[in-house]
Amino acid sequence: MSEGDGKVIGFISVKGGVGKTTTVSNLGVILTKEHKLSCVAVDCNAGVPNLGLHLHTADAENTLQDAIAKVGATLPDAVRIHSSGLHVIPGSMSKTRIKPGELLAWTNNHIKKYDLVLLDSPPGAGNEPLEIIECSDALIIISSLDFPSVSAAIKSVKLAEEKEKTVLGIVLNRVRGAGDELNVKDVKEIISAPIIGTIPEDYKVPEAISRNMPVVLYAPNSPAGKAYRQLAANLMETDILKDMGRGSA
Amino acid sequence: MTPPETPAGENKARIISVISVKGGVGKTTVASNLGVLMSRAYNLKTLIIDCDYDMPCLGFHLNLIDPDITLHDALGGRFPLDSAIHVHTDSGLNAIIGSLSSEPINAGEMENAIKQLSGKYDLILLDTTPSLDSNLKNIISLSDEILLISSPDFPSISGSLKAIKEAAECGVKVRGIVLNRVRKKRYELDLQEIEETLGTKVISSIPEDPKVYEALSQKKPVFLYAPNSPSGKELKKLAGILIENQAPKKIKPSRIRALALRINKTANYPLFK
Repeated sequence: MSEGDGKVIGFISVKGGVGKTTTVSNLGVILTKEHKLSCVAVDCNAGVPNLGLHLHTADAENTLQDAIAKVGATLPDAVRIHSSGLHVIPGSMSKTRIKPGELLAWTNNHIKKYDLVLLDSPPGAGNEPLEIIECSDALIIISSLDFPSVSAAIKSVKLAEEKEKTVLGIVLNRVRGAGDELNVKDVKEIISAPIIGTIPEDYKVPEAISRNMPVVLYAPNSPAGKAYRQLAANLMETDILKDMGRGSA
Repeated sequence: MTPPETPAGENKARIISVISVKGGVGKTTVASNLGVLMSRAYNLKTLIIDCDYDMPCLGFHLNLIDPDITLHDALGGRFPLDSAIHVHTDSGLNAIIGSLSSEPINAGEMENAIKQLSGKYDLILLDTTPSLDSNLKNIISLSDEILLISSPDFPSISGSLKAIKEAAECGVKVRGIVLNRVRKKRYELDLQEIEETLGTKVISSIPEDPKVYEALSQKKPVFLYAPNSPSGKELKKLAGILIENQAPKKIKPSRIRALALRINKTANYPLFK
């Protein structure tokens, strides 16, 4: 494999259940398949690693924890190749957590093999999310349009700013267009980061997960499938990715 | 507001923690509704504590947003514990809310705090964090039982498996699974499948209900906002299931009955039968 540009994007949200893993799996697949980037999606949620469930690699025996634990472990030990071409490093359901510093060291060692490393973070603001922020060149924050998620998004932006990391944008997820939701204009005003994508609530998403598939493959023309494709296109326009698609491939 | 004045040590509150190691399945929604139901509909002296130290959202559900004195203040010793107890005006539920501004917290003090508070309440509900870290393990070990919240999908159920394992290691009873956001679609895992996988009973199945979002936007638990909505009704049923075998302590009728029994014994006079 030739050397990539090696950029790391962390997907974070202090609040759980807003769609981090869904976003990572869908973006990873589209960026690989349609934008021809060499991508690896890494499940950094050692507590409840679910990326494998979204991409049908849950039964993997060699996991991120194995790869990190093995001295001098080579990347292929842990990598699974998804049918889309996306590389996936699942987490272990049974093994111990990643120790502080390990992820950073490991990422630095392996990053150049890819254009883009997507880090799927656990929720919260503990050691693991903080280390993921530390490892990342830029961050994407996931939120939905309710008070708890938006206040969590504000907190996530703050964590990113404290570590002087660029926030590429906020992905608004599970948007229902209902009257009880917060106004997007208000959200734009209170969060100091652009909105980079809006994904509608779509029953095709849980249906896709039940088949261990990202919705962009399971139902490409569903509202959520289209929105994820648009999000990928928006992402390709950001400074960090702009030159990548054309350069490599 | 002052909390109920019972000297510590006389009673011991039942402590239930509301757990899911997958985020966004509805821990705070279920916990806040159980809190108001137990206080208002079932007359239990109930306290709810937001133990998600990183992202405490309970205040959004009870219209107690970022109060002046928080759990973070109380555990840090900056204010006495009692001063962090706030009263939810619509229900009388007592609540200790976390700080939204990322203050450091002395989580090790939680055990002492719960010991102090235990004598004053019938029931203490602990809302928790979705990360399976040392803080969550500590909360599980401080509980008499845990209530597992899950949605009917693989990621959530695999999280529940981990939580059950953790509870078993702490020797804490799992009271049951509460399935939340149930849409009754074919792609969802079915109840029997879930019970078999987890080896635990599903004691409630709360339907996906737009009233829950509306209620949250009004900062009210859905049981108060729309008591007759599908989710409101199911939550009331769940509260009823949880208090089976637990009679409310010290409410008037039982005192009168005790008096009547005493009179009956001495005077052999059937005052109440």
